[in-house]
Amino acid sequence: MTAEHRTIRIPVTGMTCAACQSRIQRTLQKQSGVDDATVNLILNDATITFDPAATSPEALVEVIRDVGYGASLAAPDQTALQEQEARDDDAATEYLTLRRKAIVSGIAGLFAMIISMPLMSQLAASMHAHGGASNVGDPFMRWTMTVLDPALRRVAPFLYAIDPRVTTWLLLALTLGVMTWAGRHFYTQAWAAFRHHAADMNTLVAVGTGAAFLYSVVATVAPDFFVSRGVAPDVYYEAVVLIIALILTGNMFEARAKQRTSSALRALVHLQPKTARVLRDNMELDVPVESVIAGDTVIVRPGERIPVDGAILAGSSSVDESMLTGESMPVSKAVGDRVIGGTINATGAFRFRATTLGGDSVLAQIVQLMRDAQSSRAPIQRLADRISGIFVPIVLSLAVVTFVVWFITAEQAPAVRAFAASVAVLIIACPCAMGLAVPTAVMVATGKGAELGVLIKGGEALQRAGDLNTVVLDKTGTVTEGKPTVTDIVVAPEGKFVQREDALLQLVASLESRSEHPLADAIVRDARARGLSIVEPAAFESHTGRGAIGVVQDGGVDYAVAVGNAALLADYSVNTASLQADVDRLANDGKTPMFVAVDGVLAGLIAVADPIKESSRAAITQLHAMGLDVVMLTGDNERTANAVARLAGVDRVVAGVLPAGKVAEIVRLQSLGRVVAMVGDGVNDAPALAQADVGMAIGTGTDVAIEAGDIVLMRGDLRTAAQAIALSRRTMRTIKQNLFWAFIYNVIGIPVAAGVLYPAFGLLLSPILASAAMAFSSVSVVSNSLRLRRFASALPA
Amino acid sequence: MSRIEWLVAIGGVALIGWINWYFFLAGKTTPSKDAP
Repeated sequence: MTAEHRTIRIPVTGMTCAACQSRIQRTLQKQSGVDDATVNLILNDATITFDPAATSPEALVEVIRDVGYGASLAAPDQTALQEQEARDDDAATEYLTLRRKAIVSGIAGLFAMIISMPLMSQLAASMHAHGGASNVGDPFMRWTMTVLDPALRRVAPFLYAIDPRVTTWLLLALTLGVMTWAGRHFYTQAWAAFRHHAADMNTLVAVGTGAAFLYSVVATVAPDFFVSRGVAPDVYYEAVVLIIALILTGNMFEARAKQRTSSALRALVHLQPKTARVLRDNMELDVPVESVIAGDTVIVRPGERIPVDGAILAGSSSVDESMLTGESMPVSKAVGDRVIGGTINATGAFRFRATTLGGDSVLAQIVQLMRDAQSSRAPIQRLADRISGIFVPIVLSLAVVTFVVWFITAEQAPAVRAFAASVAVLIIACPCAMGLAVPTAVMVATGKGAELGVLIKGGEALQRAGDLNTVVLDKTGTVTEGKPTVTDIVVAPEGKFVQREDALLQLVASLESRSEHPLADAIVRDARARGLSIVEPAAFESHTGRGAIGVVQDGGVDYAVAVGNAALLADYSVNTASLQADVDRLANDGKTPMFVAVDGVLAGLIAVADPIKESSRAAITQLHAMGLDVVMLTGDNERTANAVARLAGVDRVVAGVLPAGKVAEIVRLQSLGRVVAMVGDGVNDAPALAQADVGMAIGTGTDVAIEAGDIVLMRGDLRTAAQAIALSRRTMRTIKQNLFWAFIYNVIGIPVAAGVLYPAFGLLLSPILASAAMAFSSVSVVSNSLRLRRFASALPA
Repeated sequence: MSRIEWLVAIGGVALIGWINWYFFLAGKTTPSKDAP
């Protein structure tokens, strides 16, 4: 793709099933200038990459409209947040419209059924009188004839006195009204699809109900045509109305469930406060959040939501960032620390300088990333897409076969039997369930992940993460804190500082305050944390690779201090034997011990190490429990690496590797057939993250490289890597269940509707029961995906 | 089989042929990319 190519997202309305989605996608992909197009049924949008020299967004909108769907360009200055809000409004409107139509047509359907009872009962009687079997194979018809009909005769005998011709004309008017008002979109969209040589769920509903309606109209207008050929002029108006009502009810539940699949995304969008309190001309003003500019001073009080991203100028507080990072404990914030828009200030009040705003803010980036993820397609969806594409024409063909076979083989009323069975085949076939199987699960899983502080960048990452069998961990910053700290201070029995650990640390920290070595930095930080005063050394000399010596004044006394390894102290003839056992013990634990001599006598040992994160051991145990091999890669020496690995419980360590070596190790594992995840920070480990089958970028606090890796772990907690893998596995299981049930439903439902069980069991399905089954199938698939929302407790947090 | 049954059978086969032609073949024979 050249640099001039653009990618846009166009909201699409009116899609009802996978066939709609694949039709729009195919049509868009065929347009000249279009490199790629992906249509998402759940998010109701099309993501198109195109060459602006060859086509335009307006032309692409026209293409979608021409196929029979609604499309319009999003306002160019809309942020991802505003766009999502607009979508939520559309989804709410769609649900309410469907609900109104479903309720009204349901009431109309019940009314139609009640007033049709006398007609049905006359037909049954006439078939019986002519020695024909009534439609008792169909459980619904059996129930109406044995339960409803006698009850109605008792309750409303006047219905049976109405002229049948009046009833049929009344039913015709009622049905026409329901078809043109509540069911209109089935017919208009089916026609639009037909014009483009495509067929979808609307085609099945339109052909099924349309055929039943036309047959009934002929029977109403010209009953003699049927009577003269020995066929009862039966009407199916009540079936048409009830089918429309039931399918609309299914669509309504589906719309509601689809809304729930994006509830995590919606919750993120709603984190964005509407207003911010800013300081302008020394006045506190409440302004809309859109009008905050970079550099504004924003004031936040206790309990308020932080309106935009920024850095604290004055004050301190603790902030609840759980909604973005999944971190349950409030995070302390002081001057200079970053705060993220959308998080909640807990106790203190502070002022901060606004930095990133609008589309660049962390929240907007997360929302954008999640939407991209939810629009993406898991590879497993290709199977569902291929089947959906050919499904409807095959069902139409099966309906014709059903009609012909029944017409030829039925002994009584062959036309009526053939007609009912073929309409049932059309109505029970449900391509929707197949279309919903994968995207609903991906939507719910990515939303659930975000709640846990795991950003999964799409269906492909999710699917690959479900197949992992090896996890490679970077050591520094992933398994360990990534920041050396003083872990042990041992005072030598022969030195001047017995029982005076702090005094020893103070001397050493004062000397090391002149050094730039990371280990020296750890010692100075620890001394400061203990509240020790650090003085400028009177003399300082660094010995590269060995340590440092100098003179530090304390209480008016000059001390000659040497800090370093045994070689350094040997140069000054200091005997280190009394602490040799401690040195060996600490080194074996992966720590770096340093001898300290004061005035030529051994005074003690200070050990510095990059400590293992509290969560790492539990995380690695979880990964093992999930059957994954865990490998740790580090640039450190083998002794330190082995010590960390032992403490953390890692199976295998590769020490002394450079970034290129990490890539080579991952390639080697992949060549052995392993499916490898690399967990590391998004900056140093970028090549290894890219090489791995799944790259997991681990964040620390607010410093998260959101763009790195396939999965972003918002907290620096390795347990979230285990959660991400567990969630992916669960999602793949859900997708496979969904696809299985969607296929099985059609594989069983269509033959039953066609009447294959009739010869053996006398079982038939009326079109009304078929429409209820169809509504049930897609709702059950979405509901199964929604079960993923309860994933949270699968692993201890 | 009666004459009407033969008619229905032949009509059904023709309809299936037409459905498959219309949805699987006719759609593909139309120009897929707009002329540049």
